[in-house]
Amino acid sequence: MNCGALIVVNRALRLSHFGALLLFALLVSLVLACLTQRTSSGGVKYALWSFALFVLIGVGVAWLMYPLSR
Amino acid sequence: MNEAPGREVTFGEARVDQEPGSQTAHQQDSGNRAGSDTPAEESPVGHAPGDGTIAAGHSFGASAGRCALALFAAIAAWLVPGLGHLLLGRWGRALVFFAAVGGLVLTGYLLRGNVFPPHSGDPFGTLGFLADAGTGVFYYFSRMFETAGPDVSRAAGDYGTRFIAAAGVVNMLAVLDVIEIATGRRS
Repeated sequence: MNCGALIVVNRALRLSHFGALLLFALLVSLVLACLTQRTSSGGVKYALWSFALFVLIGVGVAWLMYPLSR
Repeated sequence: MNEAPGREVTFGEARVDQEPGSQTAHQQDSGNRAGSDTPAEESPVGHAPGDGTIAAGHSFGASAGRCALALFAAIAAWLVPGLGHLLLGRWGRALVFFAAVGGLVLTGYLLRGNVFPPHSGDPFGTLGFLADAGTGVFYYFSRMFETAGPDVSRAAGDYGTRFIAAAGVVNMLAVLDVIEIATGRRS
C-alpha cells in the first residue's frame, strides 16, 4: 500500500519523519480535544489549534536542531 | 422519592427526581448555619427535610454505587480503549478514544517500535512497561501485530516506541476522564 508518505511493506510501515509528526499530532490532538472540551464546536477549535501548534513547534524545533545533525 | 411529583434535576449523567424544597444533609447543615433557605438544585438524592439519617444512608448508597460504577468503567476503559465511555453512554468519545489509541498503537507496531516487557532491569524499562501497559489489550496483542519484532536501529523504530508509549499515556488520561464522569465530577 502506498499513500504518499505512508507505505506499508511486509507489515512494516515506512513513514517519513514529517508524516509521523502529522499522524502523531492528529491523533493526540483529537484525544486532547475530547478530554478538555465539552462542546463539539469547542472541541473542533481546540483540536485544530492543538494540531497546528504540534506541527509548528515540531518543525521549529527540528529547524533549530538541524545544525546539530551536521 | 418518585411517589410525589417532583422536579427532574441532573447530576453528572444521572437524572433523578427531586421533591421541591428537599435538601441534602450537607446543604441542610450549611443552610442552617447560614440561616438561609438554599434551594437544592444540585442534590442527587431527594428526601424530606429533617430526615438526616435517611439522607445520609441514601447518600452513602448512591456514593458507593457511583464508586462501583466508576471502578468498573475505569477497568473497562483501561482494558479496551473507549469501552469505559461506551458504558457511560458517550458514544462519540468512545469512538474517538478507540480510534486514536488504536491508531497510535498499530502505527507503533508497524513502525517496529519496542514493546517493554514487564520485568525489565532498569527504571526506564519499568516506566516504558507502565506506559505500554496503559494500552490494555493492545499490549497483550503486540506479538500478533509485531511479528518481526522491534527494530530500534532505525529512526522509524524509535518513533514506533514513542507512539506505543504515547498511546498508553493517552489511554490512562481517558481512564481518568471516565472516573470523573462516573463519579459526577464532570458532566
